[in-house]
Amino acid sequence: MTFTLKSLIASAAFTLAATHAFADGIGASLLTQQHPFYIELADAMKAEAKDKNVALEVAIANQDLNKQLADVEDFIVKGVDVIVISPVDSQGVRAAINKAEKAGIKVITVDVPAADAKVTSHIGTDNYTGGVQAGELMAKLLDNKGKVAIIDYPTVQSVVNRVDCFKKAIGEHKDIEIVAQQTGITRAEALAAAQNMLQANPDITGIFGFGDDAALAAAVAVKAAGLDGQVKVIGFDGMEEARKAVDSNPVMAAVIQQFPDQMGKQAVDTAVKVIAGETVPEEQPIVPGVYTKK
Amino acid sequence: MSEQTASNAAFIKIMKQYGGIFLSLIILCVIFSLTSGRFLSVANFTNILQQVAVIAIAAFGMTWVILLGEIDLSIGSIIAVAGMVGAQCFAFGLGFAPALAITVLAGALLGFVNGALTAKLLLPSFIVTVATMGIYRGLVSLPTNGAPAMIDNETWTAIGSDSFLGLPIIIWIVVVLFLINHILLSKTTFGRRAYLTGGNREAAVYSGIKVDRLKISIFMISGVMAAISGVLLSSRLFSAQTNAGMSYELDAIAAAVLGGTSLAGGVGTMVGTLIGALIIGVMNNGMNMMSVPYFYQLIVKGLVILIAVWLDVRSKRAKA
Repeated sequence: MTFTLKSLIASAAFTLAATHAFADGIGASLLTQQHPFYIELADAMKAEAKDKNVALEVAIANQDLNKQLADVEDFIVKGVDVIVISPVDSQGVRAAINKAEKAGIKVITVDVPAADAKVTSHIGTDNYTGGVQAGELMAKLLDNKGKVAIIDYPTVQSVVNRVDCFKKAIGEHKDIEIVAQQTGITRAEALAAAQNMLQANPDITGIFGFGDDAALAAAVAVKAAGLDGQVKVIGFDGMEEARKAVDSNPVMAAVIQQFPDQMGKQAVDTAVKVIAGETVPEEQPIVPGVYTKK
Repeated sequence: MSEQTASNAAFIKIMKQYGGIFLSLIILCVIFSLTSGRFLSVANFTNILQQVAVIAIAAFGMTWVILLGEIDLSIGSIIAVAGMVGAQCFAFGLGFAPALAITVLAGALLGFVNGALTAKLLLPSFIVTVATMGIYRGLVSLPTNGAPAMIDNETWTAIGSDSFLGLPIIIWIVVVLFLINHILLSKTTFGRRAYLTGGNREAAVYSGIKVDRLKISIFMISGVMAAISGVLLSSRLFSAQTNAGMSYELDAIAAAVLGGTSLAGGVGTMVGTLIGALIIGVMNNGMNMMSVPYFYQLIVKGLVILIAVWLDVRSKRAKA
C-alpha cells in the first residue's frame, strides 16, 4: 500500500512538474496597500501596464520585510522578466535584490531606494528637494523666527532624507530653533507625539510632519491645545485628504506633494524598456510640488 | 509480524493520527499544482521550506507551551529581540560563535521570565505574555531607536542564503530542530511529563512532577526556538528589523493547532505541527503563484485554517 501510494504521488509529481506555464511580464512587490500613496502608485502601475499591454502582478508586503522577500522569491520561481520593488526597508531589501540578481532578473525600485544593493533603476520622489522646499516654506511662514518640532519615521531612508534636508534648510535661518523631534509612524502615534511635544514646548510655532498622517495628526493636536493661531503645520505626501485639509484648515499651512501616479507610470515604462533590452537611467528622481491653499 | 505488515500498521497509525490534516495539505498541493504550472517544482518546494522555516521553528516551541495548556504570545517579539541581540553583538565586535551563543541565551532568558512569572506568580500565561510581548518589542527598539540594524557577519548571513549538500542551510536547521523536538517530546521522560501535566495537572503534581520547574523549562524552550527563528529571519534579511516577527505568534499557534495540538493541553505532536506549518507555507506560496490579490489571500488563509481544523476534528471524532 505504501509503495503504490508513493509511486502514485511520484508519478503525479513528474507529470505536473513537466507542465510549466511561464509567467512573463512584471512582478511588483509593494510596501503596503493601506496607504493612499501606495494605492495610487499601484493603480497607476496597473493602468500603465494595461496601456502598454504587459502582464503585471502586484504583491503586497504589508510592511513585513520577510513577506517582501517571500513575494520576490515567488516571482523568481514564477519567472517574471522584471521585478519592481518599493522596499519595506532600504537596507534589508538587499536580500531580495540579491536573489533576483542571482536569478538573472533585473530589479527596479520605486519610492524607497535600496541602500546596499545596485538596481537597474530607481524611481522616487526627490526627497532632498522636497525636504528643502518644506524647510524654506516653514521659514517663510514663520517670518524667519520661532520654534519648530518634527514628527519623523527614522527607519525609512526616504523620510530620513527629507527630514535631514528640512533641518538643513531650517539651519540656514539662525533665529529658528528645532526644539523637538519625535517618532510618530501611525496617525495615532503621531497625535501622541505632537501632543507631547506641544505639552513640553508650548511656544512651538511650526510642526513638520514626515507624512500626511503625521501632519494631520499634528494639526488635530494643535487645535486640541488651543494653539490655532500660533502653530503652522507642514506635511509631506500630499494625498487628497491632506490637500483638502490645507484648503479648509488654516493650521494646515501646506503640504509637499509627491506624485505616486507619475512614479507608477514611470516604473512600468522603465520595466517595459528593460524587457526590450533598452538602457535606462539609474536614477529617475521625481520632483515634488508644494501645495498651499487654493 | 513480518516487516511488511509492521510498516503497514505504522502507516495506518500515522494516517489515523494525521489523516485529516495531511489530507488538507495534499488537497492544497493538488489545487495549486492544477492552477499554477510553477507550483509543483523542486525549486518551489525548496522555496516554500525556506519561507516556512521561521514559522515552523517558532511553532515547535509553541507546541510545547500549548501542550502544557499555556500560551506564549511573546515569541514574535522574541524573534525580533534575537535579531537585534545578534546585530548588537557584531556591533561590539564579537565573532559568530559568541554572538550566536548570546542570542540563544537571550531567548532562553526571555522564556525564563515568561515561565517564572507564569509558574511562580501564578499569573495566566496569556496575560504574562501579552505584557512581555510589549516589553520585548520595546526592548528591540532601544539600541537603534527603532531603526533596523545591518548585519554584515558573513557566517550569520550565510545561514539564510547558502546551501549544504544541495539544500539550503535553513532547511537543514528546520530538520535538525524538528528531530530534536520530536525525540524530546515522544521518546523521553521530559516529554511524557509534559503530556501528563498538560492533560491532568493534579495527577502530575501527585505523581511527583515538579510542575513549576517543568513549566519554566518549557517556556525556555519556546524562547530558544523563537530566538533561533530570529537568527534565521535576520540572516535571511541581512538585518535586524525592529518590527520583525510581528504577529508571527499567531501563525505559530495556527500551525500547532492545525497540526492537532489541543489548546486545552495534553494533546499534540511535532509531526502534526510541522504539517501545520507546511500548510501555512504552501498556502502563502500557492496563492502568490496563483496571483491571488493580497486581501483575498488573508480571507482565504483564515477560511482554510477553519476548514482544516474542522476536517481534523471531524476525522478524530469519527474514530472515537
